[in-house]
Amino acid sequence: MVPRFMPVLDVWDDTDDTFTVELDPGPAGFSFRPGQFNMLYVFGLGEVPISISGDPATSGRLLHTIRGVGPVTSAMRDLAKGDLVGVRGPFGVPWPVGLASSRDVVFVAGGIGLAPLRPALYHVLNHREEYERVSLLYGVRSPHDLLFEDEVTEWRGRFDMAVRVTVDTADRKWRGSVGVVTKLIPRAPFDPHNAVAFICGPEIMMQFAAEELAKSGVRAGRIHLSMERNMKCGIGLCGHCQFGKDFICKDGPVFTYEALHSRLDVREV
Amino acid sequence: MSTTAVVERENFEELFEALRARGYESVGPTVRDSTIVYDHIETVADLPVGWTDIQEAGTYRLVRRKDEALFGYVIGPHSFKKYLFPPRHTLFTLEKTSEGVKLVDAGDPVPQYAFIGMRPCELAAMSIQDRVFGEGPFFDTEYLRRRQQVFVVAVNCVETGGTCFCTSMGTGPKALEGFDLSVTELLGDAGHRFLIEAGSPLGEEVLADLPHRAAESGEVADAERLLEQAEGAMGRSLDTGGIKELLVGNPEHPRWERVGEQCLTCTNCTMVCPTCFCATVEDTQSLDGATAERVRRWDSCFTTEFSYIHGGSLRPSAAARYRQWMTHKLASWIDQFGTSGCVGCGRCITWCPVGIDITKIAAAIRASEEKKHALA
Amino acid sequence: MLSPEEVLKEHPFFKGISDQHLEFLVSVARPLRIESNHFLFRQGSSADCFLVLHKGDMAIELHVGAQGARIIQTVNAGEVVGWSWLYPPHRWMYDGRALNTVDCLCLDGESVRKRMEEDHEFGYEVLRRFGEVIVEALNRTRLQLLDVYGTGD
Repeated sequence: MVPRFMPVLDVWDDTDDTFTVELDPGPAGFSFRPGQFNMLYVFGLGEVPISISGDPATSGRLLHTIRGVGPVTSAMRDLAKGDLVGVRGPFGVPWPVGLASSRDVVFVAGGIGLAPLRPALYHVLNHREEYERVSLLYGVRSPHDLLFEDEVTEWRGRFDMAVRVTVDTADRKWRGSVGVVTKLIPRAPFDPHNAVAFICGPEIMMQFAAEELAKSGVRAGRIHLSMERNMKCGIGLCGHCQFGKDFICKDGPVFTYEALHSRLDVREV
Repeated sequence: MSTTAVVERENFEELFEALRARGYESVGPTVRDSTIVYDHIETVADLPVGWTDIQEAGTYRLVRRKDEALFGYVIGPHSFKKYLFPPRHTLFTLEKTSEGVKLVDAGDPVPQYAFIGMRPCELAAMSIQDRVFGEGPFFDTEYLRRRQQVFVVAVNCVETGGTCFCTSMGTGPKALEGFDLSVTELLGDAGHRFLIEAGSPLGEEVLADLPHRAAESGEVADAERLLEQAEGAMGRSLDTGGIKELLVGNPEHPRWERVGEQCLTCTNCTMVCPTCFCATVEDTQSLDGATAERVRRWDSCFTTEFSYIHGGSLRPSAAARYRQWMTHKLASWIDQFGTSGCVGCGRCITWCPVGIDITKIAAAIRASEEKKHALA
Repeated sequence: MLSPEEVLKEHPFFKGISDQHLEFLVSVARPLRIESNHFLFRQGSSADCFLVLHKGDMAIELHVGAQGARIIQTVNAGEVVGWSWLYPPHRWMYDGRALNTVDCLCLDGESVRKRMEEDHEFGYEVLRRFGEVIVEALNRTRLQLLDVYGTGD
């Protein structure tokens, strides 16, 4: 339970309420698999689970993209170069990027949900030849809230990847789509019978997106979502993150829609 | 393992001596605030001599026995869990130095405990927690380092309480394994004696230190008869057949709403449960910010904070929290750890201030399910 | 450019409609091309038709005082736009602006309404399709209302 301390290399704002903290894991680096998370500790203040948002192939820079919503995450915004952050991890079941090889890959992201998906996107793009068509369907609240905007723009310019962005509301300066992210699914380039989907975002958005994908013909066992629950220990011992029989921290956070389906409709599980 | 030995009442004190000599700190039942609690005990006189308890849903009362039995009660609100998984303990203390952050203290020191008077249901609870904390892939080292050195003196239940249902859960009234010594207390005309069986080499060693003789076949038969009687005298019962499917398959049963209306979400049931393992951590720092500490304390799924994620609690209703607790205990525990999370000790029934009864809720859900099938 | 008949035959909205009904729809369809940033209809103006988009994208907008125009949703080729023509007072509730060059068919509202009154089977076919569009739009709008990406404050 004792964290390992790493110095902050940099902190920058991604949007008004979201920022990225870059940590130096030292010469040994920090290996992780896409979709895994760390427990990050601010000295004396507390510990929170945060998905790793960087490139798994670049183990010398450990990135976490964080939204300041509580006392610990808000304090992280004030971290400066050289400050020490406690790290325990990596924890959790990763996105099954291997299972997706030779298939069309559909990433569906909602809001800050793009951060836990980004390592998987990096992996797929790093091994682009192993995959068929790749698409990213990304929904955010407003054009103002777009995460990793430069990168999304860059991906959008690629010839081997389809990127569709939609916002809930916009003014006339926005040239893109307005509406919920599920609306992008019917027009995305994938063969439902040979596609694997990775969804990350608010639970209700994931549920609707998974339903839409299933409706289009993607098998529930090939639709993966990343669940969020209150996690205190990260290792399945504190009991907080239970969702039915599963501990989100150790049996997840990534699950198939098939595994979660019956529970997502029950209230207050 | 070994044959059964008999230790007379006047020699029972020697057990404490033998354990002390081996460096054990004895903890076990003693009377405090009109309740039998577990605490540090030195001698037979610290035991609840001549006391028994009357238990019903929401009711617990100590009354005098007609005899001087040492273990003539059932169980109190405490379980031995508190010694292996302390209600509150420091996980670590850190200090900021010029070179970085230094680990000052890696947690509380661990005494070597002897558990005196551990009931079979509690022994079963300990073996369940052994799985929870020790089966991996992650281990609770705090629990394991305490657990490794425990000496168990189990005491079989010749009398049962009003809220007991260990027979239903297959955990009692006789301890079958996991003990160093197992004791059955015999009273009556033939004298106050203890039938003792050793369950480990260390147990045999300790037993060898006590003045004892081999049990007569009549004494063994007497004990068996008492335990058999106890088996049939449970205050409660719970039908565990297909319980997992029953509860998981009925998340919207109206009974959850009804129990939610009664439940005060006081967390008593989780605090007295010998298997509940949920915990939270509190991080604090000194005023000058130089040192920081992490304390772990028991938590309960009956609080709204338990399921809090940014934006709010995921289980705002009492009904959902009760359902979570009971479904976890009796159903999802089986998926998680290959065993029920309930040992049938009945504490959650006794110590519920409004007398909510887990066996009744389970029976009610089963009854409506059977009715549904009968109609179909 | 595709003929109105080809457009209607291929369009997902009219999938499965009978030849006879299709023939009627073709007879009341008028092709329309709108260049980027021009309006297909304006809030408050007479809604005398509905649009069957087969190329391009458009924005449904609402003027919200000082905030100016807010885009409520975008609509793409393969969808239909407009149900104000169905019920009195037959006025557009929103602005419809082309986001790029839009090719669509404009189906005359009055003629379709009249035919729906006379031929209830036709009326059912049309209303069933609009019902689905409206329910879907409502469901999406409800999701948008939830502000699911907000911090929940």
